[in-house]
Amino acid sequence: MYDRHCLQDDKAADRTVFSFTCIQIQLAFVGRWPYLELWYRCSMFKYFFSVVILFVSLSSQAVQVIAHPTVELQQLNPAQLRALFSMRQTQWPDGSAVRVFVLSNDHPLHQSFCKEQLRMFPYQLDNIWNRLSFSGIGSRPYLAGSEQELVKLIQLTPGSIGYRSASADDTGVRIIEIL
Amino acid sequence: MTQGFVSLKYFNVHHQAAALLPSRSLACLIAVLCCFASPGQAHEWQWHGFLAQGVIQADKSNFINRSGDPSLALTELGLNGALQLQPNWRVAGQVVYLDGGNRYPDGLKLDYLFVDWALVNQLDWRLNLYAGRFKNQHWIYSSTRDVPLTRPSIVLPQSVYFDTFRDIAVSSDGLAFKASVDTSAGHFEMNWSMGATPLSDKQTQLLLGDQVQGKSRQKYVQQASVFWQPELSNWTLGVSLLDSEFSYRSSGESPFLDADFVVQRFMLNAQYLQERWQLVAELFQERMDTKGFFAPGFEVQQFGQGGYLQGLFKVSPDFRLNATLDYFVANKDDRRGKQLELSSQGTIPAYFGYQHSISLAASKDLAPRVRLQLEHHWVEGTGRLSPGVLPDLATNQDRYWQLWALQLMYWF
Repeated sequence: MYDRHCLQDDKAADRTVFSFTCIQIQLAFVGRWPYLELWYRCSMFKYFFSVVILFVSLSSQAVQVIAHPTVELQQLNPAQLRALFSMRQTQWPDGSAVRVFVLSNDHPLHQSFCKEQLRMFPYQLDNIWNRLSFSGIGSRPYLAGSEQELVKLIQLTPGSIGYRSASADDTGVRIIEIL
Repeated sequence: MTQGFVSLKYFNVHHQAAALLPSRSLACLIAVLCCFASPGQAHEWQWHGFLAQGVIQADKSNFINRSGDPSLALTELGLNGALQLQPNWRVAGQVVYLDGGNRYPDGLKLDYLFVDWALVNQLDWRLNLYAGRFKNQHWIYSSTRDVPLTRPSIVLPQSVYFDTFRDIAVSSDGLAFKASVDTSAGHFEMNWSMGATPLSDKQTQLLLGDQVQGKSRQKYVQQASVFWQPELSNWTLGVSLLDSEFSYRSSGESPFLDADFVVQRFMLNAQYLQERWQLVAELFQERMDTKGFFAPGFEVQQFGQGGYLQGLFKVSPDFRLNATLDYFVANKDDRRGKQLELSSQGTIPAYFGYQHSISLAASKDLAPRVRLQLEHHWVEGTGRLSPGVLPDLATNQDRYWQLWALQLMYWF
């Protein structure tokens, strides 16, 4: 009895969500609604929708990790990248100093970088930097005012690492592949 | 280029460090290390600070003052600097001015000043040695408990972050190691430290009682901790151990005798993070062994327990809410303090044996580095009010009391 009620409730919820979505679409496509309804009910549309979602999620991997050309590494794994941007790793394998450049916490590119490449929340990274800098065991990264400034600083600073949009031009920086 | 940052600046460390040195041996150590930096070499120097002022009231208790009136004794100022001498050598220091009323000794303090030597600095693991006065890195908020912007609330859960013990728990003079390892099982951070904290007369009175006139000394404190964040997990789990000994030497007219105290703590902690909310919990058991003090041959050992569960919710990027449940019993075999009342023949009420609270806090960022924080605590019991050994029976006459605080902070 209980299970059947749950199933019925689930179906009712599905209908509610579907109706709500329909209203939104209806508002956008006044007059073409019967065709859209037919299209949605066609199962092929659902597959198409999944493909679109997949494409959008892949294309959102739009952040590239970049470094100064003197940095000899070609690849880093996510844990190594986290160690660098958490300011725990302060030297490159050749002994030179690591200089980390970032954008402000509320910058969309910084947020994408944290979530996609570091797999961390921006506030989590900020908490780590505060803890390091106010207990003395580490420093905060250098803060750039814009993406253009960040890329420029990476080009000019030996041992630097940062990030940028994947669509940007390759000159003067090394692109680090994240495994 | 960076807020609060002076890039690649020449800096004469000899003069700056000498002004802050706590002891001659530390002065020598740091002076030798400064010689590693060849003249004319560019060093990286960062400095940060914070200023916070608030108003706080704890009616019916001596938490802030004896009158229970609103007080401005909620001042926290700090200035720190770190100088990178070589890629694997750093010097870092911070001075703070704190006024927390009756919570801890007020005044200007050298919060930390140490040399940081990166013994191993590889992509998959790192090992650092710290020598000097270093912060306690073993608990979730221990290293920055006096830095307002890093705390979820103005007054931290008193079970774990007992303000009377602040000066002892916040930093130590000695040696510490930190290892940070990345494996396929996740990220591990291991800390070990050995040292001691000098205790002032005010600190002794806060710990033991106003009538105490002798000197107390921390013989040593040894701590170890491990934090583990499994790969691709939102959890961080940790365990920490503390072992410490104190001695008390009475003065001529003091009614109390020489004493030795042992404090040991075993603590577990967990954090679960989501984009808009997080849960934080720390649980501990603490052994306190007292020898002497009240009478020759007097010895008592008791196990206290406590912990807190904290939920933090980010309503919007600049507005956060926090709810905390805090639990503490001074003796796990006497959770409601009945034995305490009986053994003191009714002099010490049972509610001195525990302290539980619920608190709600809100914080709003008014500008990029300006925050306003407001909170209210509802408390039952007085087990975490100073002094720890000879309680303030005259002021703390109520089992239930409340606390509210409002603080404005700025940092750079």
